[in-house]
Amino acid sequence: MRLNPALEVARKDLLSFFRSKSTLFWTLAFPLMMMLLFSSMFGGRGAMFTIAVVDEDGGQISRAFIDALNSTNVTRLIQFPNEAEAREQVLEGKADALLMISEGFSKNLTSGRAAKLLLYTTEDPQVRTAITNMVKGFVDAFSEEYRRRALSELERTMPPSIPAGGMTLSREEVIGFLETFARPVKVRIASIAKPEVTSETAAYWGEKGHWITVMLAYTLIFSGMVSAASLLAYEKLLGTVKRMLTSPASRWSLLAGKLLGGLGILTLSQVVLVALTILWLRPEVNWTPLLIPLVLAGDLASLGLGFLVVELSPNPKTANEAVVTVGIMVQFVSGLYFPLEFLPDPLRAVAEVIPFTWAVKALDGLLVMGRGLESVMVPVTYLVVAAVIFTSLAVALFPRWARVE
Amino acid sequence: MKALEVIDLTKVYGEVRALDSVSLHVEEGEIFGLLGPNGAGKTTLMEIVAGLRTPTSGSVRVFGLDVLEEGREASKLIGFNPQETMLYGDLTGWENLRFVASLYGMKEREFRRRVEELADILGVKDLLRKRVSKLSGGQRRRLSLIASIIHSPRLLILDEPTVGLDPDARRDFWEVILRLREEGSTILLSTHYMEEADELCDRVAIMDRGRIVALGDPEELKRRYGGMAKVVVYPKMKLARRVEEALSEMGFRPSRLGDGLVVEAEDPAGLTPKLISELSARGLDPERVEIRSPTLEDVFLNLTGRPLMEVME
Ligand SMILES: Nc1ncnc2c1ncn2[C@@H]1O[C@H](COP(=O)(O)OP(=O)(O)OP(=O)(O)O)[C@@H](O)[C@H]1O
Ligand SMILES: [Mg+2]
Repeated sequence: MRLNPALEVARKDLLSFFRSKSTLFWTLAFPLMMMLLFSSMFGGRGAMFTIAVVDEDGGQISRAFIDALNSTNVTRLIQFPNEAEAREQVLEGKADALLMISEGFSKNLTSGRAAKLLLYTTEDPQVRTAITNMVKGFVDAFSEEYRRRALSELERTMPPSIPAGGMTLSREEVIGFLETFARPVKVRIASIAKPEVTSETAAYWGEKGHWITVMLAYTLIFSGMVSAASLLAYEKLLGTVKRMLTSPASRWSLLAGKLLGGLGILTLSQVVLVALTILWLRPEVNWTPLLIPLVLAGDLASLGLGFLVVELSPNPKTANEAVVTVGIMVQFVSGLYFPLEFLPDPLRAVAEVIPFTWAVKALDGLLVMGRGLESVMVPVTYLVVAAVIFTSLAVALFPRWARVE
Repeated sequence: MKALEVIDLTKVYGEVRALDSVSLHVEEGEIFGLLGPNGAGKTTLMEIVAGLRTPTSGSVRVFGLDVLEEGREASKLIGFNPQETMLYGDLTGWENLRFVASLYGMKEREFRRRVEELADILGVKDLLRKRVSKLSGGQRRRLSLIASIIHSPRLLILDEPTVGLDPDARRDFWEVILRLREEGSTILLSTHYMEEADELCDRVAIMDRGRIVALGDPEELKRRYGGMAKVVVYPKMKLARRVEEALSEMGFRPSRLGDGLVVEAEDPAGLTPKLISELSARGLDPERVEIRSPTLEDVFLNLTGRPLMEVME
């Protein structure tokens, strides 16, 4: 069997990769650490909502209500002194809903009247449904508990029989009658218009499925560019590029080997990262074969871009620095760690033309939102186009880079 | 057939003429040396031959193949061992060699056979399974040499192959080079050690600032440009002045070389006993007396007016 230069380039690059502690750290250990840390901080127990609370009542029962809601762990409550400030939070996307406890809440309850709560949520249907159900469920439980306590108090203090009109009612009869009254606390639901705050907002840290997106996208953005750069740059640093160029092996087979090695490194990292995420978080996501072209296109786009940056840099050191800088910036504006809505407008405009932003969106679309082919058509096409452009440019500039003079 | 023909080769980098109309040829089976100080143009010449750089003008043929026009064919005949060792530190020796073999499209079986054979010759058998980053400088050089000859090239280009090696290791390396020549390789090597050029090379081109200042068999070069032989008298320290005066009185024009006084001589073997007896007659017995035949260093000094070693700091 003849030894094939392209395959051997890929093989030795993979070997070097898995033997180098620093590359292993950045491609595998770092994203895993991030996942373990952040998912346990925010998401370990399922989706978590932030609710801005305004307690206009300030009574004993309203405070007990807030404490009880806080202790559920499903929500994070932030209290605000007035409605305007709380509303601002929701509009800025810093909270998912606003809960108003109106004046008289405690008094109404103690005097046997119905007490009202006002819940404003964003218009996003998923967030709205989730929060409404959660708050209603909680209020039901709270009402039930309150009613039970109120009645047992009544039972304790009421005389055994009460004369009512012409007849006498026993204590049991009175309590039985009162029990038919439902819900002492009523919730009215309204919404605050803020269409940009989408389901992704709530999903970010809490949604376990998004971590699969993070693992795939971190690799195809950061690891891709950084390993592409080192794959080329270290040949120049070691001078080994001279061995390649004095041999009869064609430049194309060398570049093909580099691309193959890069894809191998990324794919292996992605498999390991996704497998560990599944083991750790057990997310429920929608697996689809559409992920394969999407991830491959993303991998190629970032390898192509990484090669391109090296080829345009004056020396390997600047190349590595450039790639790390670009890689970190792209990661942060891609929507990987927080929604695009959080970015200031000009940055957001930039983010939206970066193909990797589309990759993140498409990955979440497939994995978390269970979307199908039609919805990811555009992002996948865009990514494939970017991959083709970056890779062809990298190929075109390769001979120039390979010169040793 | 000539292994290498370099015709009127010029390479210009901005203001610097790294090579200035260099012409030379190397016969098949020869060990040919390029001797010169830093910046003489040795690496530039070798890398043009190996196809790594393009000349500004001139041509290079390797076994009749034009390296500019038929570079791929020529590259199969050439083994280039660069000035730096160029190996992957995180791969083992074996893995490094296997990779290089693939660049030449070698068959797996042939590669194994060749590695065994070469590892034996160079005494690195036990090192092949170790990562290159764990090897010493000398061990890396050996491995790097194997990488350059794994495909059995007919012309082997070695750019300063022994730089940084201790004298023993250097001699071992020379033996390997002689052995490769015996097996049929033609060798072009560069060096700035004059003994290396002298002891190893059949012919030497002495280069300075991009030009060949002399070319030929080392003995012939020394005879033609080396000047007269020298007798070096090392006087007792306290007598140095008086010895110098005595030599002048005897009609010589001594010059100082370190602690020694140098006297040129056409017949050093005849002169030496005479010098010693005349000096003892004046009560000026020297510590010791040495005869120095001309070296390539003298050749370089006489031709360029500058010492070879000093230029190299
Ligand atoms: N890529 C380059 N760009 C500009 N100048 C260069 C380049 N390569 C070599 N030179 C110049 O060409 C001249 C010859 O350099 P070269 O490396 O061939 O010398 P050398 O004989 O190999 O020296 P050394 O003993 O230091 O290896 C030097 O003046 C050097 O500065
Ligand atoms: Mg050199």
